[in-house]
Amino acid sequence: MPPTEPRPGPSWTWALCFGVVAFSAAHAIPLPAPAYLPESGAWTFRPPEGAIAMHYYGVLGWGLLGAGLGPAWARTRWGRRGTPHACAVTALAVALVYFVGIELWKLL
Amino acid sequence: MLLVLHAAAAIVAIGSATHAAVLAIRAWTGRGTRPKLRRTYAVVTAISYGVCFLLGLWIYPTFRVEVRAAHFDVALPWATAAFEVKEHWAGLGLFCAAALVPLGRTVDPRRRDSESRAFAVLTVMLAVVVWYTTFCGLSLTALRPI
Repeated sequence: MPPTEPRPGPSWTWALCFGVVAFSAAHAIPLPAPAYLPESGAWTFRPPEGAIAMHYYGVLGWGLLGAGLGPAWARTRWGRRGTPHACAVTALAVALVYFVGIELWKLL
Repeated sequence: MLLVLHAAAAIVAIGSATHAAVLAIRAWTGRGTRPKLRRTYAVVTAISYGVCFLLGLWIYPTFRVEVRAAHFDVALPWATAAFEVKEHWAGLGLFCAAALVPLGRTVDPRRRDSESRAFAVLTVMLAVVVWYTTFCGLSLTALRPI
């Protein structure tokens, strides 16, 4: 296989890594994402005060966008030299702990 | 009906993800690789997980209004927290389940390199996610169904 062509494994591992990081960042920062208002069935970037707003779909969209960039990153010089497996495992482990921690923090 | 299908898909996912994790651990410890079975479980897990996830997205608005906002947020904040962890872990697991299908085709556990180690760890992590999301979902539904 030519050196410019990433193997399927690392390419998908970068997708996992980028998807997890984008999904977590969209929640933690938070990145701008449309919220769904289930009571009115509308989408908005600025939900009204007191309304039930669901940001999950927007956050998931960021994650999918990040995952889409992973294979493209795998084709770059840095992507071919990097360590996608370690990055993916670390990103996933940190994200899993982060989401548990943030909910425990809210409960306290 | 959608909730029942959601649970049924989760049961398939929990079975296949657990088998995939056991196979990955056995392969990593040198007790048989069984590549065809590994690929099959990865595909079944990804499909069942994807179906379960889509059904969850579908019923989520109803749950958000009729169950979470009306009952959990008011009286059971720990249930809201458990569900928040569930939904975010489910999102992370979606990327993991999708990535394990092509990884399962290319990985060779006999090489014992970073790829095979990552495959084993990611498979176990996905199984943990599937177990938590399934049991959390079933428990919260028993507490207050849609």
